[in-house]
Amino acid sequence: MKVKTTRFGDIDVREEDILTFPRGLIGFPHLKRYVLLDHPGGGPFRWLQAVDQPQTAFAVTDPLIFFPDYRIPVTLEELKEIRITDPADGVVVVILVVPKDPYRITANLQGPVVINVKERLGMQLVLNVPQYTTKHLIFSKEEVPQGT
Amino acid sequence: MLVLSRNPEEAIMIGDEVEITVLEVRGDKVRLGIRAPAEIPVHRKEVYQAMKEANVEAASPNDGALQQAMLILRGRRKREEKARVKEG
Repeated sequence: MKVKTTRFGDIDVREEDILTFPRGLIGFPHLKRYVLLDHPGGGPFRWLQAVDQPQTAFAVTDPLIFFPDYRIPVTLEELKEIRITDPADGVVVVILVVPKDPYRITANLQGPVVINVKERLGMQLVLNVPQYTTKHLIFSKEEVPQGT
Repeated sequence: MLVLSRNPEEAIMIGDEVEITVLEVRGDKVRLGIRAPAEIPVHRKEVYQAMKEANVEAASPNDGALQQAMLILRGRRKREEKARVKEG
């Protein structure tokens, strides 16, 4: 099917590549269908593009690239709605806030997105772990060039 | 808004499946017990609000900054490789 997007133009998406989020993302309950696109330039970033709203796309990444110790405490019970019965079926991505300054990019570690690749279902978790917030800088202070 | 008075250990039902029990009232704090099916998420409101705001903010990423971030990452990889070569 054709999906209209503001960023990538009209793209062809196979029906089986469409991910359904039964409850949407928090704050976006009306958008239930997404497609996960690779970033045109490659690299660790991907896009969670809303199928039914061209202008809505979230930049996401594999959290372990930036936070190797990141673990999400979740029970299979909590993943029931996306029919995960084996943790190996779940893919975790985190949503990025990308402002103009790349050194200010943050990752939402409190609200990871879990995708059941086999069933094409996704959901956003809300973790109750004090060390994870909605905003973690992905680059360390040492990486910011001096004099900027 | 519906307003109900409850004593400790009394509860209210929301629909057939959500039960909220007042466990304890101490000073200005109320402890609640909530029983709800797994598919009904229960969050403290401020947590829910923060998550919503974070998502709204994330919905309009700056493409240029993402492109630059890839260059920064490339630089990081190079430094790591150099460090590895030195070690080896």
